Amino acid sequence: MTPMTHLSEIPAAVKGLSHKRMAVAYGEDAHTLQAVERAVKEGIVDAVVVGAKRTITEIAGECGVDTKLFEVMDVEGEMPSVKAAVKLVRDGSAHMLMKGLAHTDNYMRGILDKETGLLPEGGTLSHVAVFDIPGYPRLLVLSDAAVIPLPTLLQKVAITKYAIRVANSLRVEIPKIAFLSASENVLKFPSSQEAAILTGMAVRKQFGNVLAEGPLSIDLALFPEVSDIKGFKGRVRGDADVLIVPDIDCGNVLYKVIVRFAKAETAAMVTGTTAPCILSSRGDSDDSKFYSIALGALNA
Amino acid sequence: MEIRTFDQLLEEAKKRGRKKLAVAFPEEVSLHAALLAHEAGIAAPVLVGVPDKIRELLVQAGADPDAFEIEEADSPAEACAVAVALARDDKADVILKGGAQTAQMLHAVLDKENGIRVSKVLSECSLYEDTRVRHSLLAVVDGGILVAPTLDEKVEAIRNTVNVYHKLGYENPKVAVLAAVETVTDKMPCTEDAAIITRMWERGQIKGCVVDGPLALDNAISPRAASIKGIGGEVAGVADILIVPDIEAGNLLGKSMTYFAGFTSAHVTIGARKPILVPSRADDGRTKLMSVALGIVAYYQEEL
Repeated sequence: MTPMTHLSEIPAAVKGLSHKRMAVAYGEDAHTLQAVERAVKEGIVDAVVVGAKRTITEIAGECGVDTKLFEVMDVEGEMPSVKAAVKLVRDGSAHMLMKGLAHTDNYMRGILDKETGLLPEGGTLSHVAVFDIPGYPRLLVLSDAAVIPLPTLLQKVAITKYAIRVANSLRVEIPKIAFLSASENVLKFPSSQEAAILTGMAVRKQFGNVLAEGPLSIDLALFPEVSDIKGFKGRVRGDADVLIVPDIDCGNVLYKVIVRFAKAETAAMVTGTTAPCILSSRGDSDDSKFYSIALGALNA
Repeated sequence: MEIRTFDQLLEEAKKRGRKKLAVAFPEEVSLHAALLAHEAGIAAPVLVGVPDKIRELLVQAGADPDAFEIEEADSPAEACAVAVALARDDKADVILKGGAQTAQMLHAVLDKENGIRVSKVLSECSLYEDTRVRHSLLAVVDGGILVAPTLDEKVEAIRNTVNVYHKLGYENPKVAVLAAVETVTDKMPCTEDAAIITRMWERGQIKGCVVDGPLALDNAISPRAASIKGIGGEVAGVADILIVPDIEAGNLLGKSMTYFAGFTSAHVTIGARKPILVPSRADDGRTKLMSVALGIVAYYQEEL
């Protein structure tokens, strides 16, 4: 199997799988309804949009979305809608969750609820993003750029496992993982040493069938010519599939730089949950929302 | 040629001619070691202490009381300082601790003004001669000095020991950083240190050797155990140097080899300009002699 090299390959892969149903939490805005419409029309998912039916119908009418494409579950209010959508996933009547107009905090609260949420015992809520960068030969998986501010070593272990699973879903059979830091030398600060420890785990096959290298600077991780110039001999030489960042600051800056400067298309989802949860924001392009739903369906 | 037996080690020491062995405040144990080394033709003892007392001990040991160089010192602490001064001035090649406390000896060695420390840490290198299974020497670091070594101390101890192995003729000694398991887990911090040290080696931050860790003892020294566990690399199964997590592990491992397996050992403290020998009363004669031989070979340099 050849690894996917573009996000546009995901929808076709999803179509080969059993059909997935997506619950949309508080889908009372045009952006969300349009994204749902496209995903359904392109055959990626079925959807049930949770929110006030009257409002949803009204907004759908205004933006020309056909409400016959999806089911509407009539629930009043933001938090009750989030809870109802989460419950659909928890009960197994939906395979994945998508955020609508709900605030991220409320959405997360619904997911994290110990009694009624989607986080399994021992699960680590985190975030995985996939980048399709024009002119770059492979998709890049990045974690965690959005959820855990300062991950502990154990949280990084979990993050890495989720990211590997996503890479596998993109048909990368033996993902190459880069544990990023400022330098490839093992230095005295925590991110460098943790990267060394995580690499040690990978070498001992504690992450399964992967190749890993760290600490690694991002240029060594992504550009073979830099490895050549530096004479760097490692398991990853400019051909990383997965980037694990030291913390959210680094991850978030990297994410936004890749999107803005490298003009990347992205897909992203929340991981660590029992089912994929899509967390797109209004700032995301229509394609990005669509690919995020497709990525979720691929991993559902 | 890689030295793989203590006989070879002794031969190698003999090639250097008699080296000056400063004995700090000799008592029976250290004097015995010094006399053995003298008889073997590898050492010229310089006995540092109270001259009358030393002559008395020599007579008791059946040696000629006038045949040895004696430097006067009134107390064990002073004897340590004198021995260190001799080493510093190249009037001694190896220091042998006698009836002084180990702490007194280290104090003299580490003294900022007059001491002879060169490495960031002093560490002990214990060699065990495996005459049964692998027919080779195996180093355990550190079962004697570094109590609960930090990451940095472990790295320095590796560098110290690798230097010794280069002198023993090993171009690229194989260093296993030991733990209870070969996997990395935050529940056992020494496995994390081992993973970090291995990456440092991969990055060229530790040179002149091959490092892998964490490794459990079995997969460090038994090719069969390593292959069953599927651990590749150049070290697993064939390690020369075992870096243990702490002094308890090193001590138990070393004494197990001595008492259960019956391996002869040799011990040297390294990281100073000259090797320091700290004999134990329980050491047998061969261990005492080989420790002197190890000190001589480990530190011999053509030009200083």
